Amino acid sequence: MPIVVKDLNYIYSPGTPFEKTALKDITFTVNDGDYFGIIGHTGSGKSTLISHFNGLIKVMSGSLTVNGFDLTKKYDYKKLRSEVGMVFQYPEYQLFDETVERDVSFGPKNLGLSDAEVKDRAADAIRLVGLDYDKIKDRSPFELSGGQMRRVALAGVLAMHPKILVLDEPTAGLDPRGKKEILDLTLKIKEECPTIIMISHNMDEIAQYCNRVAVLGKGKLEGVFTPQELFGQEDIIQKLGLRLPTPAYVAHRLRERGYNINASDEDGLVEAILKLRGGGNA
Amino acid sequence: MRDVSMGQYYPTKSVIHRMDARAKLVFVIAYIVLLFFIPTVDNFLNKGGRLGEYLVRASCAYAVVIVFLIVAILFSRVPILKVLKSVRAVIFLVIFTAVIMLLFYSGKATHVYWQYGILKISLEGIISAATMALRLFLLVMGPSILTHTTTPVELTDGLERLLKPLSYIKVPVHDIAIIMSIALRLIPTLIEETDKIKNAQKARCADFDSGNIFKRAKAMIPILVPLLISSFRRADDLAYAMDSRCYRGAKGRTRMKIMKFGLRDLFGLLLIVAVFFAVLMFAYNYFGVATVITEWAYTLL
Repeated sequence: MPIVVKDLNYIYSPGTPFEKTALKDITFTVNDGDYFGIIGHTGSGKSTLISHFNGLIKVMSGSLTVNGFDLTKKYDYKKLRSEVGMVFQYPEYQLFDETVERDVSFGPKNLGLSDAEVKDRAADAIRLVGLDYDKIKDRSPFELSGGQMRRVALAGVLAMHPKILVLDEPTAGLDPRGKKEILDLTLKIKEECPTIIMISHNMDEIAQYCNRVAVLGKGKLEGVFTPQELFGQEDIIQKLGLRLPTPAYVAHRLRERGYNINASDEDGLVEAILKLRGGGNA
Repeated sequence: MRDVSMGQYYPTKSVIHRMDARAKLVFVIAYIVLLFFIPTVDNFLNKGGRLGEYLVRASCAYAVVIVFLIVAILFSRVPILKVLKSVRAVIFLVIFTAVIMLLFYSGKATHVYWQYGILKISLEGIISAATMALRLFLLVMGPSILTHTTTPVELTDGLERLLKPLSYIKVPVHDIAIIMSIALRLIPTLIEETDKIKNAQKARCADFDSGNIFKRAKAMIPILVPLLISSFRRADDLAYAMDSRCYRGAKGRTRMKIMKFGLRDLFGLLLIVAVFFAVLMFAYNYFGVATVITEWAYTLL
C-alpha cells in the first residue's frame, strides 16, 4: 500500500508570535517499491513531513494515508509504527541499553512478540546490517565505532520488520566510505522492506539510489521528478540553490561550451563523451 | 515540552529591558523583602490589633504593591497575560498552602464557622489564607518580570557583579556565574534533544503514557540514558571549545558590555524606595495614616 499525501499543511505554534508555517498544501504519492528521495534545504519542512508518516505529528489539515492507515482518523499507533520504520538523523544517539542485542530488541519487545521471536528478529537484523552477531551482541553499544553504532541503531528499527523505511539523512557525519556502505546497505534492505524514503542533501546520492525525488522549498512542494528529470529543471535547481550531481554538472558545463552531451550518471557521461569523440574522429 | 514559557525572555526594547541588570536584581530583592514586611493576620492580632484595622492596612499595602507591579509590567511592554501565566507553575503550591492555612489557622479567632477536632474554618483563617495566596502570587510575579525583561546572560553577568565582594573571601564568583549561564543556555537545547530522543523511541513503539507510575518511570530509561550521554558529550565539546579559545577563568578577563548605572536605573530606584515607604506607611501606621483611613472606613460603613 502506498503513501498518499493530499493538501497536507502544518503550522508550528499556531496563534502565537512564534507561528511558523512548516508545510503548505503538500500533495504527492509514494508508490510501493519506490526508493523515494526527499531533497530540500534546512528548514524546508523535510523532517516535519516525514514525522507525519508514522504519526509522530498529527495531521493538522489535509489528508494522509500510509499503508492503508487513514491518519486523519483514529488508528492503531503500534501497528502503524511497526510497519513504518523511522530512522532519524544521527540515530546512534538513541542507543541506551547495556548490550547491542538488548538495544536492538527494544522495538520488537514493544510489539509484544514472544522472547524467541524477539531474539530471532534481533539476530537477523544485526546480521542484515552487516555486523557479526556472535561477536557484537554482548558488547555495550557505547564502545562501538560511530559507523557500527549507526548500524546497530538501524538494526533496532529493522528488527520491527517495517514495510516502509524512512531514513532522515542516513549518511550525515560519515566519511565517504561509510556513506557508500550505508547506502549500499539500504539496497540490501530494500529486498526485504520494499519501499524506502530517504531525505538527503546530496544530489549525487539521490541520483544514484532514488527512482523518484520530491523537492521541498520553504514548506512547499516544488514537484516530484525522476532524477533525470530533476537535473534538467535548472530553474528549480538554481532557485533552491541545490548542486547538480557531479556527472550531470560536468555534462551541463560541457553543454554550455557547445557540446551535445546529456548524462546523469558516471557511466552515461563517459559513454556520451566517448561517443562524441568517436564521432569527431570518424 | 515546548511550552516551558515560565519566565522566558520576551524581547521588547522597553525602558525596563534596557535597565542595568544589577539594578533590576537589587529591585527584585527589595520587592521580595518588602512583601515580607506586610504583617500577617495572627501576628497583627497577637500584638493587640483589631481585625478591621488589619484589613484596611493590608489591603492598602497590597494595593500599592499591585499597582507598582502593573506599572512595571506596562512599562516593560510584556503582555500582562504572559506574566500572569508564570503563576501557573506555582498554582498547585498556592492552593495547597492556602487550604492548609485555612484549616490549621491557630491564631486568635473570633468568628468560627465550622470546627472538627483541630480543623476549623474561621474568618481570621480565611483572611490569613487569602493574604498568603496573594503574597505567593506577588512573590512569583516580581521575579517573573525580571526574567521576562532580562536575558539570562545579562542576569548572570549582573549576579556576578553583585556577588563580586564575595570573591575577596575566596568564593569562586566568576565560576559560579559561568556555570549558571551555561546551564541556562543549555535548557532549550536539552528540551529539544529530549523531544528528538522521545520521538525516536516512540518510533520504536515505546509507550510513555500508560501503565502505573513505576512502569512509566521505567519507560523513561530509554530517554534518560541517551540524554545523559549526550550531555556529557556536549560538556566535553564545550570544554574543548573554551580551552581552544584560551578561556582561563576570571583572571584578566575583560567585558564586551560594560554595565552602566544610568538615569533610568536611578528613576527605578526612586520608584522602589517610594513604594517601599508607602507600603511601610500603610502597614505600620506611620504618621497615623492607617488610623485615619481606618476611621474614615468605619464612618463610611
